Amino acid sequence: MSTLAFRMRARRRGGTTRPAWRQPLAVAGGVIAIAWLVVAIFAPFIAPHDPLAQTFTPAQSPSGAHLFGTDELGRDVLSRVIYGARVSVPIALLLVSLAALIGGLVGGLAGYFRGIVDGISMRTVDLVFAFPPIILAMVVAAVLGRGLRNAALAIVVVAWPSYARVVRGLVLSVGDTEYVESARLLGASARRTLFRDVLPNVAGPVFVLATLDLANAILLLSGLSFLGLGAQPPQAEWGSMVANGAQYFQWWWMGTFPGLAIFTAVLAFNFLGDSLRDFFDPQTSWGGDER
Amino acid sequence: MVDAPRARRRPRPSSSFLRFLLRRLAALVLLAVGITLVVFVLTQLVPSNAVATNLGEQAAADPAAVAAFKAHYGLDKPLPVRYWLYLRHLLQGDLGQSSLTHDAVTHDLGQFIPATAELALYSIVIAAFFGITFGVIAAMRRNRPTDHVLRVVSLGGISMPTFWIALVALYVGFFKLGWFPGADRLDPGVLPPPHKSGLYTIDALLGGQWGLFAQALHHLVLPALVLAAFNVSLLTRYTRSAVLEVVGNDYVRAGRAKGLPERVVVRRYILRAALPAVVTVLGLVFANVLTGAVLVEKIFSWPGIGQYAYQAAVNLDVPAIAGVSLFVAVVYITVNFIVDILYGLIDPRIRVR
Amino acid sequence: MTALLEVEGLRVRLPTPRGFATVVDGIDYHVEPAQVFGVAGESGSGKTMSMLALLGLLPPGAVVEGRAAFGGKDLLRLRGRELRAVSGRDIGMVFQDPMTSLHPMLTIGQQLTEHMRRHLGLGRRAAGDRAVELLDQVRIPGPRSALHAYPHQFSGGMRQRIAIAIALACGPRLLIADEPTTALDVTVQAGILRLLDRLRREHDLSVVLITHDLAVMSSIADRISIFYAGRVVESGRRDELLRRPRHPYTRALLDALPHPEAARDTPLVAIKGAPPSPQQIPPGCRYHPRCPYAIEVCTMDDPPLVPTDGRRLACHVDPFADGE
Repeated sequence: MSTLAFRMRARRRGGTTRPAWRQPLAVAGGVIAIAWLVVAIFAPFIAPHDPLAQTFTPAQSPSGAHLFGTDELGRDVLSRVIYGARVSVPIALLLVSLAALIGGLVGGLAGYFRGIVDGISMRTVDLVFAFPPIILAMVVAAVLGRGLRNAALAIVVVAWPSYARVVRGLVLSVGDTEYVESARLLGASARRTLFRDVLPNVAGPVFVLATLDLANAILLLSGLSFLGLGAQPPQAEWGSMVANGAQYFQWWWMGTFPGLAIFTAVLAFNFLGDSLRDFFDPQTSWGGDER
Repeated sequence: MVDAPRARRRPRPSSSFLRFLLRRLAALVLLAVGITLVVFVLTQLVPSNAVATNLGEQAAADPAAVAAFKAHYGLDKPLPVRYWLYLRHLLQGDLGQSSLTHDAVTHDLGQFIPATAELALYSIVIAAFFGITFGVIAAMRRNRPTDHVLRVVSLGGISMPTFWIALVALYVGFFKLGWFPGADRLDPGVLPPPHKSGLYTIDALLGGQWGLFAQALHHLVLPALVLAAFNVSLLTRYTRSAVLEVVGNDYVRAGRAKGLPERVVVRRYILRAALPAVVTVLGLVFANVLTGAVLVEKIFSWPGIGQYAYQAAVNLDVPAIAGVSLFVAVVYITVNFIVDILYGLIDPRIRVR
Repeated sequence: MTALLEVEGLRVRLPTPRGFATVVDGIDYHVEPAQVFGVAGESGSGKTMSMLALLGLLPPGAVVEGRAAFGGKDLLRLRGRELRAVSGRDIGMVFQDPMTSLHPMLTIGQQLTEHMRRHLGLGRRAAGDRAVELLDQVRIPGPRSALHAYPHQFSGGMRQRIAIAIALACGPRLLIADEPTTALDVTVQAGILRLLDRLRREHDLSVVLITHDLAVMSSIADRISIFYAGRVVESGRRDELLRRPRHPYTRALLDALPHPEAARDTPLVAIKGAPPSPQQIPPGCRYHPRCPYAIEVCTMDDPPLVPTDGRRLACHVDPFADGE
């Protein structure tokens, strides 16, 4: 992590790498992500039908009237996929922000105060990391009770530790560098040191992590819903739609299209995150940057 | 000689390696204790009537049975005492009784673990083989078309929801083409091979039952491939960057300067040096396989621990939830412990530190 | 005397984000049998690249032109199997930093025997015996147990000795040593140089010694070429060149050295400016922007390397022609 911080600074001086937005993957990721955001916001205007209305002949295969077909209860799959964007994308954004905030705070405090604070928070982090994410999320979601909100909370529980670890590492390494040391000696206040010197070096890596984590959050959230622990019927949610499709898998369109929706949304954030990482770490970049 | 020999004549990696091992082992035990605490706390939070679900309605009406039950599990005692009792039962191998199957959780785990173990084994082997190969290829062709294609494909691979690929694979491979069976570990009505390891392919081989071996393998193809997909992509990405960290090193150039064939340079000089970084990812791969198992077993009706965990969570079967999550977490940290040790074995520099 | 290695018109171009950069631009030199040929110059003068080019060790995409005759073959035309038959067998190479040039995860024995077994067809045992012999020759204490040790168990100087043993394992006729002492302590440097000198005498070995340190050069080189910005500016016998430097750059390099015999108050003279980057080679003589003797012709006309007075020199002005 410390090398990441170092490279960030080195980059600012050198500035030979291409900006992220000129990389095709970043562009593709950005376009898809924005498209999904637009779909989420304007779902009522875009969706051809009511996502909950069971008004059509059930189990029609895709046609001009129903591009993605209809499900076993006669609901329009396309409309449900469109409304599904209102669930996965905003909740993922929210829960990742929450996880980053909590993790960042814990990591920042641990790195800044060190000692006991550091010990306790890092042991807690170790404990959360001791469980495979889905198992812990599943148990937490089950304990809290089924439902979308609890599923999201469960994901926050498993997601915050990586931020704590990264931020702690960065704060430790930045705090050890000479310029922060000298700023302290010069009598800069703690707050000033934090905002001027520490925060800018922490922001980049956390941003990269959060972007990639958005992808993971969407996957995990839809996974929990797929298991029936997240969104509850009849709500239109991608994961539970795939689960439904699995029960009637001879009607392939019921599961395939919501799955594609998850795939594209996750792909968008992975493209973005990966390009961002190249931007900060050109050493092993997958882009066109030469050293 | 001008430069006095600083080299130890007889390097003793064994003793320092032992220290390294003991330190890691101590950390492992501490973590395991922490896990029991987390699991215990989680189960205490479950809003359910343990007595009723465990004893059934009839017994719950009988005060003597209820008292006996409460005394056995210490439900009448304060939390710390209950935790202590929980630990004592744990040490005796008592994970409680599943309220769903009405069997001991340990018995259930014994039933379901082999199926998941077999699935995980095959998919990890597949993932490691293809992931490492693709990663090396991408790195050696850095910034050329092959590399770019592998980048996009592997990003796609880590973006696909496993349960969705499972569904697509089931639809195509089983329903449309009919090439592969769609459920369970063997065809309906077929008896499993005599139990030795519980892994059907291995047990069938041990018993010389070739037909059964082929059938078990046939059943494994779809779920194992589906589980491997995410990890092939993940390993491709990690291997690629690990190799790129290595290729520019002087010792790789030195290897070429010795006139070694490129094949040897890649294997012995590059891959060997990149291996520790790749091995550390195997812990993550293992976690992914478990995650995938929870999601995929449902679709392939695979009688494994993922299904059991899922059923336990959905039905709030507290002892089963506790048992499964404890078991999985302990296996997971043990895998990570082994990965650490492997790292130490592969990289001689770690051992001496 | 016929030369062991004869390089003519060597030109190396490396790919960069802004097109190719010519890092070695038409270099000629030859190495005679059982002699130490020194290559000196500041970093970035193309010394290392010109040597890596010989064994095809340049980064991917590099373009090499010219000729390098070695044992009746042109090294620059060799590919694949043919090149590998020469690399490590007829030509050994020692790299600058022994901390990075040995594989950290292979034992000394593995690194010392793998190419012997391949090139010389030795069995495991024979190769092991020869490895012990080699380690003994480069004065590694306890050579037999050293075979099972890993590089990190040795000091820098010891590692460089091991690297030299590896380079010599197959009995090469030419040893290319790229700044073999730069990464080491001064006291350790002397030991390595004495070792190279001894091995050269004992094994009838030719050595190409690359260094930026003329003091290192003066102790063992027979002939020296001075590189500047991808060109040779002066070359000749060591005594000639170091006692009576003719090129202003050679002179400046020597003036930058501390002399123990020099009067207390003689100032050390640093060369002003920095060598040009391969992308911004000045017109005319490459050294003229930094040369105190430059005249107008130097800014326009690139001086050829011509035989002058028992050496070869590329300078229009030749300000030290009459020995001061």
